[in-house]
Amino acid sequence: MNDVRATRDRLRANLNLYVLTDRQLARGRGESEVVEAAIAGGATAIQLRWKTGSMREALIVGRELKQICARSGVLFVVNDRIDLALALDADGVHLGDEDLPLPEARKIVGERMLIGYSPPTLAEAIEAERLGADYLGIGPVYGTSTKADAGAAVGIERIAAVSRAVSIPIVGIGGITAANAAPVVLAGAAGVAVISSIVAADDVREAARQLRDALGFAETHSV
Amino acid sequence: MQQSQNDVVDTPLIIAGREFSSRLILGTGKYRNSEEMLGAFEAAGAQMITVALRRIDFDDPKSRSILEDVDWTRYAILPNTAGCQTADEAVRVARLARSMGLSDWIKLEVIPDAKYLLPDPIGTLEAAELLVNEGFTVLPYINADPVLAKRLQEVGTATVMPLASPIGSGQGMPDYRQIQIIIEQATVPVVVDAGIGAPSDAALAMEIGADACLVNTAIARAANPAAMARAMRMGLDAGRLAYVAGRIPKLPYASASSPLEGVVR
Repeated sequence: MNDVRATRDRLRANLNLYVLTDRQLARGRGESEVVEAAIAGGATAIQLRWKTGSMREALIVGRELKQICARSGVLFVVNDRIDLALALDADGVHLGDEDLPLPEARKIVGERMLIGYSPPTLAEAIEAERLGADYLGIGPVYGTSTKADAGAAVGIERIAAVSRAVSIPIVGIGGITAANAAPVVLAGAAGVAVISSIVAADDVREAARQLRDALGFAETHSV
Repeated sequence: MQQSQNDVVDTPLIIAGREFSSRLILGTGKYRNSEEMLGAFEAAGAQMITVALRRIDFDDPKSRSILEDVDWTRYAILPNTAGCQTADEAVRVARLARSMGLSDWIKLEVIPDAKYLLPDPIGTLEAAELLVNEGFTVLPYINADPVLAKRLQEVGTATVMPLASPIGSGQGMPDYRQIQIIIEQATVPVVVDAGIGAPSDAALAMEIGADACLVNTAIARAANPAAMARAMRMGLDAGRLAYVAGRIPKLPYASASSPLEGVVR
């Protein structure tokens, strides 16, 4: 069983570069291969997104990812599925506004794991903190091609507004690349979540490294 | 210094129509704590303070930002785009600063390189033009390049801010001839920004005709920031007064202090 309190203490740092898997975008590469390379390049959190395919297979892939992440001290989170997250003993589960609501989710997972949430509005972000979310995913920051139902870009203005309104860490998501990541952390996010700019890259490790560099530059050179 | 010096009345510094009696602009980075920072602001007599966006967190009571202690009714805030490596990033951050109601003034920094922290001239010009067209008051941080400075003032920037030497290096002004050309050509205030390590550097910058200096690291990292801020102000004032007073030209040979004309033999 996880000690969620220890995880919370270093959560901000662990959310710096958050990579979400996507089988369709991975160009034939398996989740484990992509995740290993992303972590080698500096990813600090991994989220298993299992949108198609059987739960049996998800369990097999998830166990591999969990092992890879644990070995590197990287946060391992499961998208949408609380049951899968529990079966994998993941560090966290990430929920959207069409998944089980936060109070019910917390009732199920208790203090065993972190709960991340993607609030569609500023008001829901504030409410999510009150309901016990551990961190928030805010987006789409720049507009995205990966997620069909993601809606219009909210901009870094939303990042700034949410980061001022809540005290839990937030990550920006949606259309983020090494070339536009800095404004997201400058606006107050703990980090960025990415799919295509890493998962679909020719060189996953190098893509992750470039993103980490961009984030590190923004953090250390804003005086 | 306006009324205090004998018979010398200096004009105020005017940037984009706004008047400043202080010609010393301070930053907020690298201070050990907010007490030292505020003491330095006070001792410097500063009226304008530049702030990286990441440090601005006004509305959050649990904010970790050291800036929550600053009384912003006393200082003009100059948001900067530090941390941005491309023109596109800098433009986004400037827009964010404005949308947060901070200021439509922006100290434009486009810095792709971490080791020397030297600004990207092309990215800076591109971002400056875009931001000026969007109604921003743009104060661009640049290398001491007279042609670039001219191009920037042509697109409508409110100042040009050439560096004396790399940010935080404290190297002073190893070569000020380029800055002299910038000053000669300037139609907007020239603010020497970055690299100033000691009051003598600030004095030199002002002696050659700079309109203001921006100092951060030399004060923030001094053993006694408030004392250094005061020293910096004195150096800057001395240099400015010398400029206004009109220094003698440099001559290749000696010129006797007691001329021989009219000497009784």
